[in-house]
Amino acid sequence: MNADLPSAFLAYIAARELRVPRLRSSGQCLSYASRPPVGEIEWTPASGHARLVSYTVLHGRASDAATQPGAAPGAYNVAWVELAEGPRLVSTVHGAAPGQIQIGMPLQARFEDDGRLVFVPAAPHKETA
Amino acid sequence: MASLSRFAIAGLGRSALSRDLIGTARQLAAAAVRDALADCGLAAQDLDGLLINQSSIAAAGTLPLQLIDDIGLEDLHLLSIVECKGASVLAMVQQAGLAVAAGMASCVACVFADTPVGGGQRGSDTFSNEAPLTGIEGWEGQYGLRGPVASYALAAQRYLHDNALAADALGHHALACRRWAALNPSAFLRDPLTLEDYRSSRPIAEPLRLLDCAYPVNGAAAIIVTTAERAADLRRPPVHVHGMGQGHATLKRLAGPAGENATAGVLAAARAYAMAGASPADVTQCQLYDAFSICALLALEGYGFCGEGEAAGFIADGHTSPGGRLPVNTGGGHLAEGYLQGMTPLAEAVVQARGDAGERQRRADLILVNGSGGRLEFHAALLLSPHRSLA
Repeated sequence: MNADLPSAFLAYIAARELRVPRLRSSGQCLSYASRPPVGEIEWTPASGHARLVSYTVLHGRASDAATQPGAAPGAYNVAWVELAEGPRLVSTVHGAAPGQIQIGMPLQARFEDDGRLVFVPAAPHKETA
Repeated sequence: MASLSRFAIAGLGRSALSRDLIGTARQLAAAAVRDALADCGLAAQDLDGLLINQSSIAAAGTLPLQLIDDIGLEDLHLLSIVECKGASVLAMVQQAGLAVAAGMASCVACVFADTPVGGGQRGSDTFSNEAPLTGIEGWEGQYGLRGPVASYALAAQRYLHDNALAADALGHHALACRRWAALNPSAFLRDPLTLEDYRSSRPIAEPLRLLDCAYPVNGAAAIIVTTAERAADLRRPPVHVHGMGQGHATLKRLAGPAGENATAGVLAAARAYAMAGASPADVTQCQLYDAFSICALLALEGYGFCGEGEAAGFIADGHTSPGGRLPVNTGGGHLAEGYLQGMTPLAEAVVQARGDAGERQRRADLILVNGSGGRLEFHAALLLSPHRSLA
């Protein structure tokens, strides 16, 4: 894919694929904030394994929020997630009651019906290097 | 400590401050500069420099270069708009000082103005810009990560977790700031707070509650920078600048693994202390940029006043409150005095250095002022003193 990093990432997401950018020369995985020359990027599929680096629960007006089951009306969580391959991205944790969301918990990437990338609690998995 | 200042803050001015609409930011900016001129007994023609900072969230052109005509300035040797998020105000002072020290200009006004509330506009609406963290433009919008409060909440949550702190640990800073605001007739929020008040205040982005957030106000403030010699001849006691530093790290990961909660503030701190030949032990009070309570805790650690993870306890023990050994935000800060995006701590530092703080006056021999913004990415610091020479 010869598009710049953000465009390529979003194109894969639109195709329901979570991929990570690596430098062709070294295989080193880059963050999504990196901007190397496009020819140097190789997009490899992510395992989907991740862990929760941090999260917050936003309390907006009910009309603004995507209310989640079990949460206070109008409240939703936003997650800061680290993929097993290294890059971090913002997402949300689904399928966990508010009290079950813990920093460090293992997560698994999942695409919703509407194409949005979310993360669900996962069984503990081996960290990749 | 060893430093001889070359430039000083000679004037301080403010517009009226209000939660209601009292004028455009441009009008308020002109009023603040005029007030600063009157403060030090100068006229518009005595200024040969103007630096301007508007809120980065306000529409482009809110404070244009044409502000010079509103104030009646001519024949300037220094003019620009300065933008560095929450570090902007201190960056203006630094740039003014560098110009004065180099002989490029002799008397420079630095002004900030904003009108974030009033007329049906809520602070939560004003400060709801999308917070980019991932590096992919537009990505965060689909998850509703809106407003600086959300980014800072991620940092705060991680901080509490890494240091095994209770969810209300940040509240001690809010309480301390109210204690100082009670002594400041100009502060907007002066009623005392208890920890129970804090715990029951509305959650905004957990763990941040309403009482963890700055209190937006409409208004402007300006300072005037000139040489140390000139400042000594003017009406008010000079406030000498001994240390300056900036620190920026946009690719620093917010809320990293344990040990990575440090921000680029440590870079600003190192330069400011080195320039002044000073260390944290020499600082007698701090004026910290607290858009959110977590900012003050991270600044206390980043600027070397307590160890990593110790700031909450340091504040809870009363060390930063009236009667404590390291007064912090003696006017109430952004949470209680009012949010003028960095002018609040700078103005209070000037008032303290001049000995004008009345009931809340504390030792002002060396004052640390900091600014921070973005996603804890952009930092600036000043070390100020009423003494021209630090020995």
